[in-house]
Amino acid sequence: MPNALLSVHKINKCFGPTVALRDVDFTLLPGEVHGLVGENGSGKSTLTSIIAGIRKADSGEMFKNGAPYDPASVVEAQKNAVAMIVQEMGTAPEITVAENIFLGKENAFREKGLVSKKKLNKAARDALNKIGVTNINPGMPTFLLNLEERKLIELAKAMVDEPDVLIVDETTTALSHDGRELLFKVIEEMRKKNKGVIFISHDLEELMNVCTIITVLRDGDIIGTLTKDQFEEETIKTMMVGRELTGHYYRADYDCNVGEKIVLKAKNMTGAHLVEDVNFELHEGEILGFGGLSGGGIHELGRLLFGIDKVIFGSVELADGTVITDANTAVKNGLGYVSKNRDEEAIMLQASIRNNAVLPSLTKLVRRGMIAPKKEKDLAKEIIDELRVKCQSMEQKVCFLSGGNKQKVVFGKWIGNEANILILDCPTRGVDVGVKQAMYQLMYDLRCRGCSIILISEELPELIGMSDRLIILKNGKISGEFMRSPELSEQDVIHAMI
Amino acid sequence: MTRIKRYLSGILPVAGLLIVFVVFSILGGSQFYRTQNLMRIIMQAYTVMMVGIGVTMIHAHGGIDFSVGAVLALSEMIAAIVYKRVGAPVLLIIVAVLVAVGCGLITGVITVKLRIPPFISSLCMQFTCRGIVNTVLQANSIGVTELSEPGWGVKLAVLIGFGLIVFLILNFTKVGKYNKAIGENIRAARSSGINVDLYRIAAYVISGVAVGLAAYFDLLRNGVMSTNVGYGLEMSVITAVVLGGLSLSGGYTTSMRSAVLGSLLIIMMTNGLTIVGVPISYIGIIQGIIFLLVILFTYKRESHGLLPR
Repeated sequence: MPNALLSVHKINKCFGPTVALRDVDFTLLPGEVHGLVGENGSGKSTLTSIIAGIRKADSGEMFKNGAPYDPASVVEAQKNAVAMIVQEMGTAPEITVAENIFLGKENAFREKGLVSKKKLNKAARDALNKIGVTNINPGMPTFLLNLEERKLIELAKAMVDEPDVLIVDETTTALSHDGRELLFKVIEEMRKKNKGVIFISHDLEELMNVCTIITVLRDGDIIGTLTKDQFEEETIKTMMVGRELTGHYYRADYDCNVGEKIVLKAKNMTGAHLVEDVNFELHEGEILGFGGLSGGGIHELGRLLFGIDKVIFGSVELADGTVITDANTAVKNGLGYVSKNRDEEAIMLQASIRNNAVLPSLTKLVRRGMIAPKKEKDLAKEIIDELRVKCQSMEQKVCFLSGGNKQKVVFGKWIGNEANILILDCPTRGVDVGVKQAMYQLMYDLRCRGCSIILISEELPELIGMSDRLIILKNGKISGEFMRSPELSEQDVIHAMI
Repeated sequence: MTRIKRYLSGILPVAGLLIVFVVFSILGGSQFYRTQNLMRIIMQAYTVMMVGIGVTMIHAHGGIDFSVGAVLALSEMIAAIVYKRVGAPVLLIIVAVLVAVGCGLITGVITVKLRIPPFISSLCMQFTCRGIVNTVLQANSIGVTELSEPGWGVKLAVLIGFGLIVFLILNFTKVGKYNKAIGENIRAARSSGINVDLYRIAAYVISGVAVGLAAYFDLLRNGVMSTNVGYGLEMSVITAVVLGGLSLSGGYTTSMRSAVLGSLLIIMMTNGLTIVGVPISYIGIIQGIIFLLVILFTYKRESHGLLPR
């Protein structure tokens, strides 16, 4: 195709025995915002990382504006005006914002042999302003910034060279509403200038709003490409999973009969930042949702409840009067916590599934001071079977699992330890539709067994769809409470959030 | 290549020991492989091996201890002084172990509770202990020559017994498993309900027991306690465990055999080179090159690339 901005022809890529991409053809036309969608492990990130020069394809060819294109590195891709914002952190924490934005391009700011900080900072400020960010000081060390701000720096960095092709790999999960708006504006401008954007997201609604065309991948194959008029959530989901998603996505019942017993009580709970004077009671067999804008205190609330962060005023108490002071007490008393930052905080990436899954339960396996390997294996097998973790064996390292299966292992840790109060912080973040549905089913099953769940989420449909009761936090305080009902709509809830 | 490396890092320490043994058996003949010389190698490796087994617990959670040499000296000195005052030989071992455990406890608590990197806190411990020894002894020494060294049977039995206990702790108890989990990801360990502080301190205490036992046997072997006891022991121990295949970042790959194989490997090389007739000054150069080669083949290095993944 001579007028294509970028075209990819018969790309193959294997990782060991796993085929990540199989004879993939992909074309990006000028003025296109091309969505890539598929379950975890379907090959989206692999494809874009090959285009961005991070990885090499095993075979196949690529063309940029009709000319052969085969970048050996990210720098070479950038020289060909291809820039990418990666799913993981792409900034170096120990250097300043400006240094991150112009990483590898310091020579342009030389003055008498030294890099001029002044010039660098000024250029960085311009770069940030260009994408609409005004509240970040370019001289600041990057580690002082939060996840969202760092993502915006990556965006500014990518836009410095005015690329023809911008690849955005699952960036929006890290962004708040305002951050997303900034990103969408940049994308829109790219489109107007007849450049191209490749956009990856798990959020179908967002994808349908932002993109002009969507390509669906499954197990390394292109399943199909949909144009704007063909966009429909059900169609895309079916294409992704390869079968009709039967049954209900969220729970179907509106029977909110929760137990009389109060299993956890937050009294005037106040944390070092954000959470302020929060009071609530969690009942046996209840799914209690917590929603709010990011920065509203919902994630901090989860950390306080589980004792990872210290409650500075007020308390978190259990039914028997135990006060949660640290995570150790929490786990001993049957609490479990699924962190929003899975890879950093919930899982040992280089350790086996077995070692990860049994970790909180080891205390229960001790007999005469020792832990029998057989008991450990039995428990790990039970967990893997119950949650249907897709793996080669329990000795496989967790880092080789897909996002959804990693999350299953994290859930498994607590199910293995028979936790009866689960605190789930964005449990379905970065997880594909198939696994998402399984997670919802699991939450519902646990509820029916008398387990109580605190569900913290940034996705309103999920909260409305799953919770018996929904509490909204705004600036760290409770700003609204809603009971489960078929009439409850996002509109009602948003009022309490803003 | 990564697979080859993973495979190599598993067998290389064992293979290395075998190769060194075979090479020197050929070059040095019966002078090298006779029982008497082999026993000498084990006895020379004794202190490094014992302490190495102990610090394996610390390395499991990603910690490091630079104080073992100085703590060894302090334990020997206090044990010798107490023995000289009171006169009961059994006090030697009791006091030596107590002092070393106390030092381990202090290093552990400082590291964990004051959140100081173990590299720094254990260096401080080293300076302090070495300083105390130098202040008390000045240029003098304390002789305990009236006590005879225990036979090699006893020494070997203690080493094997202690090794077995640490092996069980490391692989079949909460202390070992938790320390390994902390080495993998301390935040994940904490959020899994592990009392991270307590178990890290426990590792320093277990290591202290090893240093105390080593101090007891070292004192009786030398028969005299002077200021240069234990000099450079920390570096020998770290070299030994790394050469034996231990990853200093800790985690589930931590194994006790690193200390055993590594310490034997170092001593066997020095011993063999001496027997073959290599001048003592060259031995360091040869060892340096061999270490580098081993590390090149086994150590996990960052793959190049501008971005992660």
